Amino acid sequence: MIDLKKIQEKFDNLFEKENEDSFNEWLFEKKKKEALALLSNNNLFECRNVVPEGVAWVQLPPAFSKKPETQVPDNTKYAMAA
Amino acid sequence: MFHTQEKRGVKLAEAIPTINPDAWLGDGTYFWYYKEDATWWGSTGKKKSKSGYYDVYKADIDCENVLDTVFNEEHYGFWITNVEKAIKNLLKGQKGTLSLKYLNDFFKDKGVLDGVDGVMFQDISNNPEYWIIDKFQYKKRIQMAVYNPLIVDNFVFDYDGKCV
Repeated sequence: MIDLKKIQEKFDNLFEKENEDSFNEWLFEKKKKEALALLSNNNLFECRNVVPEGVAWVQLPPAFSKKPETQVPDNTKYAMAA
Repeated sequence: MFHTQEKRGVKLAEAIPTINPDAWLGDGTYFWYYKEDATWWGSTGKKKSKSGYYDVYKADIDCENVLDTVFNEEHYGFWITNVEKAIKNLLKGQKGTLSLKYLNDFFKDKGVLDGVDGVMFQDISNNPEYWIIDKFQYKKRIQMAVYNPLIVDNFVFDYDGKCV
């Protein structure tokens, strides 16, 4: 069974130590890792959705646009996941 | 519970963790509480299957160490309190632009959710079968993000369908 008191202590410690700046630093690194993970899977279009800010844009060469549905950015984010 | 995926050439032996940047409970594998939601997501969900078809798997999930914000009032209050503290302390400049996913991932990365195997949450479904009058849904859409794959058992293919 979950010990809410114990988790609350961890939350309290987190809110004492962390602030908006440290969270944003973490967020930048997190999004960078997500982008690199997607790039390593040759999933450049997904990458565009993960990093709307913070990481340099990858300009896709035309050779990547093999299928009609991947030629329009708004239609490229469809990998069913959740 | 039910796990929806795009149809692939082979059936899955285990649930696939999400890569969806909008996955609002953070990194994990996602399960629907109702079969109707698994079907709705597969057939009309935002993330369309490239094959045009979807598969739904079912599994038993041990909820002993799951934060149940849907049916457990104490858990719900606990969750709301801490998410609101996080919004106030961490998201001053990003409220409205950042999804809950990154708060949850932050909690996990910082070890706050160690020992929590998953989070169960609900939102509002667009499925018209869930309301009598538009926007007044009588039925919850419930999801679970599983962080510890060991709590998933008897994961098997259940049925498939065509995307619309």
